[in-house]
Amino acid sequence: MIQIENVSKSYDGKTLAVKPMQLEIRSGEIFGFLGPNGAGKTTTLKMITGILQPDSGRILLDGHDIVQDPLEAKRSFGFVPDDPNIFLRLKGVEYLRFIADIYDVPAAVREDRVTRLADTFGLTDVLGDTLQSYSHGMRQKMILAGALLHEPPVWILDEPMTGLDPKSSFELKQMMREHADHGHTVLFSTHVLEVAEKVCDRVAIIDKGSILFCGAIAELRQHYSENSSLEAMFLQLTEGFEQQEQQAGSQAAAENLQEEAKHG
Amino acid sequence: MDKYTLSLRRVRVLVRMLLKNTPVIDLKSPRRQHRLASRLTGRPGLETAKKPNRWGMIILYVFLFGYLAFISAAMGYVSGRSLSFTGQAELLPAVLTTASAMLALVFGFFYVISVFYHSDDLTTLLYLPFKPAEIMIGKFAVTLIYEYVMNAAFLLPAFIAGGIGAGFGAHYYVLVLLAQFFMPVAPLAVMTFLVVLLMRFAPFAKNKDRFNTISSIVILVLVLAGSMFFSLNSQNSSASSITGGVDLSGLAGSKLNRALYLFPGLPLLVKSLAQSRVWPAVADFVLFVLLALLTLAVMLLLGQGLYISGLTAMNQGGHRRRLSRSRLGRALKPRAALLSLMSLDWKQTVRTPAFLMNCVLGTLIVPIVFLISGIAGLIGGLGQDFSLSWLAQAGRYLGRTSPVTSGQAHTEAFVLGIVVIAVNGVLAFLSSINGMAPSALSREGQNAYYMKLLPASYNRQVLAKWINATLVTLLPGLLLIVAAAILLRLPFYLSLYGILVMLSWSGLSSSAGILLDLYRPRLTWDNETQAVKNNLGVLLANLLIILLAGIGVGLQLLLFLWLHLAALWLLLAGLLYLLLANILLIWLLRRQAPRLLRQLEF
Repeated sequence: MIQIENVSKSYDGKTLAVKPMQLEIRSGEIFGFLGPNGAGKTTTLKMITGILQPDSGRILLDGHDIVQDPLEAKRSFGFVPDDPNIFLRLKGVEYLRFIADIYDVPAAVREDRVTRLADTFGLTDVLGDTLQSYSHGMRQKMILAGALLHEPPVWILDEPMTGLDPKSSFELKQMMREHADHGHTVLFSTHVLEVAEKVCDRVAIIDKGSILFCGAIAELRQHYSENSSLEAMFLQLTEGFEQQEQQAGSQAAAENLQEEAKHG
Repeated sequence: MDKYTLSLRRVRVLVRMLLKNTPVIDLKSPRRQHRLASRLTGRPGLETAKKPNRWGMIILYVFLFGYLAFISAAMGYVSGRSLSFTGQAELLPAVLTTASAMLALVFGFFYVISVFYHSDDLTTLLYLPFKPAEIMIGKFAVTLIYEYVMNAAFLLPAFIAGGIGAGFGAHYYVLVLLAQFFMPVAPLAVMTFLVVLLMRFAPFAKNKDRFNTISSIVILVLVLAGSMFFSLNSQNSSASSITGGVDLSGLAGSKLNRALYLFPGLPLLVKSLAQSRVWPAVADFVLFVLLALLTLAVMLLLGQGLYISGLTAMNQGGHRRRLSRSRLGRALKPRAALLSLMSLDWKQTVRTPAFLMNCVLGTLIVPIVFLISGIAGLIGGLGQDFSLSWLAQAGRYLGRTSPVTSGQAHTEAFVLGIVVIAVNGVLAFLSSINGMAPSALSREGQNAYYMKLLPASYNRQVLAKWINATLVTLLPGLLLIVAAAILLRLPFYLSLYGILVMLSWSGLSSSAGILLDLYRPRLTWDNETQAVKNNLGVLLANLLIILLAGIGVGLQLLLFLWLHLAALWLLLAGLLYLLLANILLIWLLRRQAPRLLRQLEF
């Protein structure tokens, strides 16, 4: 379970990237984070994983505070970043050994888990090569295998389907479902609305650092037309929000001008 | 017809783009670099740590360039004067032109591989509407600019100062300045063609990392061999020392000229520069320029097809090796987390050519070379009457005070005191050459964010880097102590003192370096070389250790010369100082590292 309690984040102390956010991602569900580019999805995921420190609020991962109890919190999740270009000079097997050592994966199960994950993602033939020689998709799969190696209860995946071939993408979706069905948590961000529609139990639509909607896609449909596609609802929601923001902005500006005129 | 015509405009655009992409000297403002990296990675750029100062980099480059130019000018001037005294002034342009051709050949080989085959822009360039010859001209121009920069530092000052020393006429300087633009053209064109031909049929440089590592080591060995050659010959203070100890009179008109005939036009340049009459000199020069351009044209004509097919051959995928079950089992054997972190840091460092050269080989080799020349100089300077063989029985002088009164025992107690202080100073200097620690975090670049994801405390992650840095720094000192222990038959306690001092200085140097890097990490870089080369932290850490060494050695000298304490007390005082300094810096590091790493944002 992931609990986000009143968490906010600003850049340079000025631009509010994530406005105070309240969110609970329950055990046993796949939760999708949707939003346009620059909406605050990655910033939120980075705060959840401890890469960024929130300005306010707290984040609990399986009951462990990521700021107060970081080591236990970090053990409880596996994270796949949006950019898989890390550890490029390690061989695939060296990378997996490093992850297994750091997360204390027992010797007895290591080989089996590595073999299973490598088979699932079609990495068996490249384990002896450096990540540098991999294609983008293969790097993505290797990072994914590393994130799942210690079998964490919480999966946090930033755009995990990007660069995956159809087979791996299908396998990953299956694995996400199975993981959630075992009572664990999957949180992932995506731009691909079809994926969210098919895979997620609940979604949050985020724009300009605010959650515009949080709930099941069926609930979203109740607000809009029953037959609307998720894409249409998403656009209506985010564009409507943009217009509201602009109106609020112009109203505030007009009020300011009136104030100034009064005092001027 | 258009198939055969080259567009100068397109070539100009291409060269400008290539130079922006791979600047010869990188003086982009850190803010601009940061913006660029943010744009490229799509990351918002929340890095809060201070970024390096652009003016600092400019001053550093000017200093280094000025230093090289000064040495070159001094050597050129003395050579010019000596040669004019012996009536061989015309040899000066021959020697310098040959040197230029050799530089263009040796460094050109590496530049051509790097610019023509290893740059990141190739995949984009092949899609754009450029003709193969245009791409080759663009790439050749970039390589040529590298040569110009190198010649401007190494050879131009020698040409000018040498001309002054030899008393050449005004036309010599005009031709020398013009020659800088054409001198490397023919050798570089020949080398480009050879490389393009080789890479077409035997793509030996396919593995970029492996090639860069090997070529860096070859360059390092050449530079070291060159410097040792000069230092060995510097014993002879005759005129010939300036020209590398080579007696040029025996070579005049023969070997040098034969070497020059390998490159079309260069003998004409030498003839032109050595001419005392203006018009024949100009005529020879014009012929030289024409021949250089002709060589370039022939290279382009023959090389364009080979270049593109060579590129295609190089980019074909390699053979994958499947790990056997038993090898997989061995490769996954569990290790302690600390060892795993050390192994990660080590592998990433030694497998990245720029890091291997600057952080590991630099730390290991540079001190050894300094010491070899230092010891040779010391032994040469002290003469044959001086012997340190009594050090084997130095134990009896350890507890003796050392006022400079009289008697053999007092003299030897005095020398022993000096030895104890010198060991401290020399080992401090050795440990100050630590390329690993001051770039410990910077080497991670934008990927340093993974340090925040791992379920390992920041102190443990820093400890892994600290141990690696300390071990690498320790090694040359340990080798020196072992060599001294065998050659000078040092008593056990002096060797032990040396080992403890080296261990302490290495630890201190690593703590100081890592701490400085944590305060001002260089995480935004376009290529790995910038993380270690454009990192002022390395210089600052070096200065900090020299400062700490100054205090430590100064303290020992004070106790020795003012209080006349025995060598034993100096030894203990030195160790106590090092112990306290280590405790202080490790305490600081353990306190600051978690705070500074937590503050880092990506």
